[in-house]
Amino acid sequence: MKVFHSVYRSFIFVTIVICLYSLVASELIFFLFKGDFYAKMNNHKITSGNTNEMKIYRKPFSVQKGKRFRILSIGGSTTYGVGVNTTFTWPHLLQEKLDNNFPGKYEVINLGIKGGHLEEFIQNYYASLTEFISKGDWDNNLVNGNLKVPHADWGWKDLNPDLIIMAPTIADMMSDFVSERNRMAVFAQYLLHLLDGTWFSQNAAICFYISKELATIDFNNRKEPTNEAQKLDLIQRDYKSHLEQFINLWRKDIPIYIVGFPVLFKATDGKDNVEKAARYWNIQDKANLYKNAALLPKFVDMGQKIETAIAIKYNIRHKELGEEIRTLPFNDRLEYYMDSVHMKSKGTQVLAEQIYDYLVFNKFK
Amino acid sequence: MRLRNRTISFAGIIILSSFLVFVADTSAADSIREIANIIKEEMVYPRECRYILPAVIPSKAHDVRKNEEFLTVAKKLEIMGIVKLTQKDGITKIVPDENNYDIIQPNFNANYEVLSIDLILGTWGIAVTEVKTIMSKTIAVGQKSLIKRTRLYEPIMGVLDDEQKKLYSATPMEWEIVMENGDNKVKEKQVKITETSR
Repeated sequence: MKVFHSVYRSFIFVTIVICLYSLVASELIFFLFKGDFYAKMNNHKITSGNTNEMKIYRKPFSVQKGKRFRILSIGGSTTYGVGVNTTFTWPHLLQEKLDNNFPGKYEVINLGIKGGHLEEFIQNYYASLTEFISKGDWDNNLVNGNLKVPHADWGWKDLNPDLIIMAPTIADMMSDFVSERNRMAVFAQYLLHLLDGTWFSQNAAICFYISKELATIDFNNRKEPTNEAQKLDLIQRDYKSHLEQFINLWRKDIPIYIVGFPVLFKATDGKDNVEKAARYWNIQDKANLYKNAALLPKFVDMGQKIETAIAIKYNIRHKELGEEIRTLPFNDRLEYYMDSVHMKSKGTQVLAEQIYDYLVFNKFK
Repeated sequence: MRLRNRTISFAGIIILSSFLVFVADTSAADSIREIANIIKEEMVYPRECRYILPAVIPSKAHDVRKNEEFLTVAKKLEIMGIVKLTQKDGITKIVPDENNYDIIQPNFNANYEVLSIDLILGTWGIAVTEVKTIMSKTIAVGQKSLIKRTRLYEPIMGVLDDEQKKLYSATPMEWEIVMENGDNKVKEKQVKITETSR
């Protein structure tokens, strides 16, 4: 009994010390950084609406929602429309098709970002980035802690969508270890904003700050996979986790459609086809092309499996598009692409057509 | 009667020989068509004719003369509103306009920085005129020419020197077709002009 009392007393003492420490530390840090602590902690620069908040997007749009049914098209460079004129991006073509058949009823917003990746999408949910940050910079600088991320004072959540079309990118499947750390930081910042800098939010944010540091330690101690199978397994787990987290950000009543785009190379394409592609695009240094031919079909296959599993788990729609392009002979397939991933207008027209049919078939639900 | 029979025989010979010439000609034409299809399949014709412009001038990979040519082309494109040029400390950076991607195709690195810009001048097509067999190798002779020209062709040709212009004009070609492991392998070379066009 005495032992129990002693442990109980120690527990109470430790709890009080932790609470006091937390209170003093958070107040002290908050005072020192004059309320900008969380922004400084994450090296975030909060913009005051003076910067061009739309410059990372292909086409400006209004944050304020009007009367039209709002469709967000979220993705990377294939959604942004690298390789095609603005009028031939698939979101633009979809808008045209909808306007022709349902005048004034639907609005499609292109949130595609060049080199965009899921981590960035999660960040954009809370506060939209205003500058393009390459995946390499994102990963390296988050580890080093000196990334400057300029934000707009609105996030994708403020766009209040009625439907989301999500076109995950190949970049999402590249190795990605730091998102957990970043997410903690973003959440801390969001929490502070939400609770208007109260004592509670400071303490809560401190907890997230600690979590963030723990995630960093975890990241730093994470062993690099030694073989390709382990690497693919790790990428697969990361991709699944990020995709789920992104889906969970949105209200459950908003329909989410996941669409997959075909890439040029199939697993069955060999050296001859790589040589043909190099000839077609006049590429002298073929190393990247060989790498793409070897890796892209594996990533696409892996992505499809994960997306299918997630679609079933969350009861959302998922469709792989461009089957008629995928099944063409290689030389004919080449005509649809500007590189191994990005399509020319000939390809984006096929995609837009199929997305339109898919939406109408499912009655936008 | 004899004369009549002779006339018939003579007419018969003419018809028969015409038929044989026709058959031989058709089979030669078929052979040329077949070889042309093999070349098109292996060498990916028709394909775009591209002029590759580095995104930063001067480019270290090229000499002074070539860099001057790039700068002239870039300035022409700027006048046409197809690219924007920024100049600092003697270095010119070329920023492609995203609404001209039908005629210019930028090549990016993994960080989406533009490394070079392909100017699409038109579409190369080929025509095979003769097929020979030399030492068990099939040799096809013909020419490569632009079967389509984009709106960039004339302005770019207007600023290139005669030597460069030749690279984007009709060129006599020779193709060597060899069967390797059940597949056709094609080697292509330009006749007379030694420099390869890009």
